[in-house]
Amino acid sequence: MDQIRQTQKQYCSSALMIAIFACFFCLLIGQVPVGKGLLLGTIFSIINFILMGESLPYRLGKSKRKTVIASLGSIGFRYIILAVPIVTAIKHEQFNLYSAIIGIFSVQIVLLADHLFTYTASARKTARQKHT
Amino acid sequence: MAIEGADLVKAAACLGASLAMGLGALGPGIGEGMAAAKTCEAIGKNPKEAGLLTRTMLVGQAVTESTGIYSLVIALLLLFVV
Amino acid sequence: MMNFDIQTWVKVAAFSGGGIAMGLGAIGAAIGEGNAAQAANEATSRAPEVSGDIFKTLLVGQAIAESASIFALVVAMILLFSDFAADSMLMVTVVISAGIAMGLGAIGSGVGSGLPAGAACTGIARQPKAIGQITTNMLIGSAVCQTPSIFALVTSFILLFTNFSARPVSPTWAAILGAGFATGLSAIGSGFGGGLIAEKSCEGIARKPLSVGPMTNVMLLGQAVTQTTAIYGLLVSFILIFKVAPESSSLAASFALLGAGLCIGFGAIGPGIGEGYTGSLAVKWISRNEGATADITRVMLVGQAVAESTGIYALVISLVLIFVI
Repeated sequence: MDQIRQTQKQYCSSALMIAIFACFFCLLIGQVPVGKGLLLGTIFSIINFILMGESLPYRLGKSKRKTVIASLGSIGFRYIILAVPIVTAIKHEQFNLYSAIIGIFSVQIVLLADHLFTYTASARKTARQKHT
Repeated sequence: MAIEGADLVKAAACLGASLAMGLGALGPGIGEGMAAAKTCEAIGKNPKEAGLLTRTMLVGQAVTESTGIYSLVIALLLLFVV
Repeated sequence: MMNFDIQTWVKVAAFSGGGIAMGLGAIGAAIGEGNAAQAANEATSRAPEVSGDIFKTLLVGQAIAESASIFALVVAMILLFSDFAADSMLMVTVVISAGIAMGLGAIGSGVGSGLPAGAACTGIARQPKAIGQITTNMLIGSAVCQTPSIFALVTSFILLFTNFSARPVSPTWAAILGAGFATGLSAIGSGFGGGLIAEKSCEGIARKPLSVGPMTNVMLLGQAVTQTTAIYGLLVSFILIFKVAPESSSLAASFALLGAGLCIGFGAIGPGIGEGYTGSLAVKWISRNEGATADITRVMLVGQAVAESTGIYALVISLVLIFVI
């Protein structure tokens, strides 16, 4: 379980950092609702990612049917929390809906970007090795 | 909106044609995929026979395709003849 | 009387659309996550000493696999909590169709991208040192699996934010409903098929970590061909949404447009799954016999092209229904 904590810390902190910088940038250029929505979405994205890790032990060591049902339960619970930023952004003018939607995918975006970066870097490295 | 007999028949023919082609494409699509998959497997086991295996695959797929062509014919008949 | 009630009807339709989107989306993701957790379970019992790595991979894989159902959540929340202009009865079909497109569209991606997550966990139990290559390959594979659900999201948003109020009610309701079915149904096959390929590629990299380069390339090639049927569905739904149909009171004109959507929707499922199966066995055998990579790739592309033909027939019939009838 220690490694799950490590992974969560790594991706959540970089997602939060990027969101805070993007939020500052939006505030600077005067797009206040966009920045606020992005930050709101990111915070709930991180909460969702942490809860997903916490719910992992309850889904292991059971039969296939029970795992599917347990996954459905965990999804139902987490999505009620994940719905909060979207509903807030729809109901309140001070949060931009689209940036909130981008925000709730920020952990996924950071994850993918990190791995794509290492993939292209290693591909370039092997290509150079073949070349020489 | 007055619905007349001829209009109803035409509407049913349109819906029927779409379902005939749509559902008719399910079987051949999956079947031809399986034939190609097993050919890939066989070439992996025996790369020397790649030419023969590809030919056999194409013949098998052509036969599988026939049901898709039946659906196509029925759909075109429903659209343009009925 | 009917005019007076439009507001209520739109509300009811939006609630049903949101329910369809969320329900179908969550079921797909749950099946995918359940399968992945099951595979992780077996993997930890086989190699308990690397259980930390396996859980880490499971967590990362699920985070990506879930995005399809989060798209569904977004559309469902917009449907449930936004106020829609209730100026014509068309809005009723718009909100239902947006829900159908997103709900059906999330199933394939959810189930499909659970497969590579599970295979990656099994692979790490077998070859713990290759965790980096396996995880990267899994993430790329599941990200490509999400494209059909992104198409569904795009279609839902376009449906919700296009102004249909100037269009004639009679054939347009069918075009809107058809557009939802076209994207939603056609995404099922492509999402699931792409998952099959990514699963075998993760398994193959665990078997031979050194051949990660050709394996990832062939996986991406196979997945790209598998996505084409979803692109046909997206194409037909764009035509249905943006082509202004002339007003007509005949039932045939409406049913032709609805039929066009159903035809390409159902017609794209079979080729999507079939091509995915072809790609999965091709990748599997490339990992076992790397010398035959060129032959296997060529046969995979030929076989997929033939399997694609039935999808093209469905596309032709759809276009005939839209433009000729």
